[in-house]
Amino acid sequence: MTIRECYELAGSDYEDARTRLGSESLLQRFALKFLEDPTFQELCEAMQKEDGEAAFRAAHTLKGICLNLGFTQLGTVSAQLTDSMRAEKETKGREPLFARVSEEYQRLTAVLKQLQ
Amino acid sequence: MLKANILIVDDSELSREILLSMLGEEYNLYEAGNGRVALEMLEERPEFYQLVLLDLNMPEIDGYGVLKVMKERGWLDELPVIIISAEIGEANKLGVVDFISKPFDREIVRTRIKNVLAIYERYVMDSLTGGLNRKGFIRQVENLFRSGVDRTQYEILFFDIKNFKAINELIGIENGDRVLRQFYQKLAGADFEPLAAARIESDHFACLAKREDDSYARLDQLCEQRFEQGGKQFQIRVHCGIYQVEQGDKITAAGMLERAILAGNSSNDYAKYYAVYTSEMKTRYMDRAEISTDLEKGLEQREFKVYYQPIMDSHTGKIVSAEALVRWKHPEKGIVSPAVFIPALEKDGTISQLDMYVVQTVRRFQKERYQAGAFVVPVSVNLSGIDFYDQRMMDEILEFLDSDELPSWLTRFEITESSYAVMEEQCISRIREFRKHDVRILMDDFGTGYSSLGLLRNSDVDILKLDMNFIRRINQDAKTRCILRSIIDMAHQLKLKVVAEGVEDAAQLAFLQRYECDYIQGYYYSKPLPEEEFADFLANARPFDYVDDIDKTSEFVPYFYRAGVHYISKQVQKNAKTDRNVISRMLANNYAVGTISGFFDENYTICYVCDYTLNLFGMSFEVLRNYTRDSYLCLVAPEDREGFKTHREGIFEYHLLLPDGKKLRIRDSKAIVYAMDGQEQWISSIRLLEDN
Repeated sequence: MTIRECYELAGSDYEDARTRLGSESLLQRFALKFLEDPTFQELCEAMQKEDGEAAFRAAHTLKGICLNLGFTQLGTVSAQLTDSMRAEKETKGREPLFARVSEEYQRLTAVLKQLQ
Repeated sequence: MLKANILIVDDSELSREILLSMLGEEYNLYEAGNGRVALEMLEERPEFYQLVLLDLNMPEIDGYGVLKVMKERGWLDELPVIIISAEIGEANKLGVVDFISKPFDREIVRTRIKNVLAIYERYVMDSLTGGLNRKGFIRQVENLFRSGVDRTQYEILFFDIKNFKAINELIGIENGDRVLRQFYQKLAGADFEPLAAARIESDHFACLAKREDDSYARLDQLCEQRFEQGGKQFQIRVHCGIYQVEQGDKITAAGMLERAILAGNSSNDYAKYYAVYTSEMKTRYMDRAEISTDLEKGLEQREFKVYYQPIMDSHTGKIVSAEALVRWKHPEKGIVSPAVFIPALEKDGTISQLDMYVVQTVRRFQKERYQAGAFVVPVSVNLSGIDFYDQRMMDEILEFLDSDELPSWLTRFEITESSYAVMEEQCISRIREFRKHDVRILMDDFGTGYSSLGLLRNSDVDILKLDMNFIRRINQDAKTRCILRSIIDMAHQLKLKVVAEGVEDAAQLAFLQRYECDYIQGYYYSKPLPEEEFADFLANARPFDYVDDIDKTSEFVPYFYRAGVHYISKQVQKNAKTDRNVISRMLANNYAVGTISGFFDENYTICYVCDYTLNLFGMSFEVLRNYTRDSYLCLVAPEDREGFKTHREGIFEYHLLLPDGKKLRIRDSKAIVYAMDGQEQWISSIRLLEDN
């Protein structure tokens, strides 16, 4: 599968991301790199430990990465999770949002893993 | 161009990598994974970075924490921070210059960063030359020295383009800027490969270089540059000051640069264009502002002393005039070099006060001697270009010149070539006014700048003063000798006299005599003397070996003297005034050597004879008169007499027949002049061709 097909399959804006980041090859490199990015893992661990500060930070970072790479769906739910913890850095009660983030993350990475 | 150093602070490696992909080609990028690491890197060398890209949301110390510390340290004034974040938060209150929000767009990121760097670049870069500015230079030097290199292997060089202001006014600011850019490029690309090159202000440059040998021949090309403008070539003269970094030097890079500058300023004192800093220079250093404040007090307290340096006739070695020089004995700092205080006073315009003080002092000295009937010679005073704009000063000078207390021709003015070059018409008309009063004008430091010959054609100048640097090189440099000969020859063709300044040894004198430089000033004859010693010098001088009954205080005496005429017939003296035309013709034609003059009457009655001619005849003036009964024809060999009579003008060769029967073959260059009463006179300049 090509990077363009991956983006389309994941419901992301390929053209926009490619233009912003400069080239298809760069986009592909970053997409593959995203699979190894520890941020989602950090978010999971923070949620598990109920570390509100770390969870907020990880969600925020994840949101930023998604915005940059043009991963619209995951970006949107990460933003919602971030906003929910902005005023009160607590994990309690954010589990449903986190679950949606996890869902989108799995969906996206499943697509990206098909990249040639 | 140097690449800017950018520090990217973001805890997400992927985010940093995206920025690296966007900026890596144009900038040197450094990464910090969190605020603590970033602060450590900044602390180590804050001047190293030109920009920080800062994420707000990080573990340990976040972006706000980083900004707080940066603000406390004062780094934010010169080191811009751009927030890279999905949201801005409250960072705008912490003095950041810009925000780039995610998602990043390659073009937007690059443009924004370029713009921010351009804004802040003026802190370290010089926009005119594209090199570093003073601050940027100091940073680079400090960065290097902090990296633990052996400092003693390095030196800091400071360069000062001489007379740049004049160059600017002569060829226009735009072309002046081209000169600056050209110099920067030559400096940055010099063979000795400077590690950093900068324009530190106006026409001052600096570079950091590896120390090589101490001959500094490598600076030759840099310091003697030519610049082409509209088919004309200008010489750009550059002085260089060098600070060789010493072992265990604790001074800052700024302090090192100061020392190089100090050395550069003191290189005015020497013929060579560079000077290496020595610790004693420090003691001569005075702050410019300090000098101007101290000037007024110094004038009141009579800390300024006028010295007189005799100027001699190159052939007779007798005094013809003198130059007034000023020395400052500062109560705390001792003798302050004019090379230090004159540029400072020129810069803020207070120099006129000092110049006027010298004019007054010299006038008082001259007037006292003149009125006492003592021997006087004209004394020249240096005027700065700015003096001509001082209405009061000009009025006072003209009043002096108009006064009967002292003949005006006893005052002369020296104006530097570079002041001349930029002089406006109103100033030139002042000079003309002075000259109408028989005041001679000397063009000082001739040959230092961009000696434009057109300048001579247009200038109202009587005497050229060769720059000391020429004289100092006479003995070593054939080219200098060649240039000097040409200048002297050209000056004479333009009816100008030439003074050589800074003559120190017999070899220099011999050269100058040989090529007929008219006057000599320098230690060979006398150093500058304080007033009392100069008075003694004059008292011991024997300006005239014999002047037949002439009133020695006559204002024409120095004219005769300048023409090399020490013998004047009684007949002439009766109407000496009418013979001023004759004298000025002698002067103008450079007839000083071999002059003999007389009336076009039956006997060709002799009026004037100079030393050289009498030596040629081997007789004193009295013997000459007794033998010839004032008739020159008695001396001309009988077979040549008709020829002598018919060759009224131009070159003619004939024999002289002396009383002892000796025949001399001479070449006579003869001219006709008219005395004021209309009487025709002849002036000859005779030279021995051979003995037979």
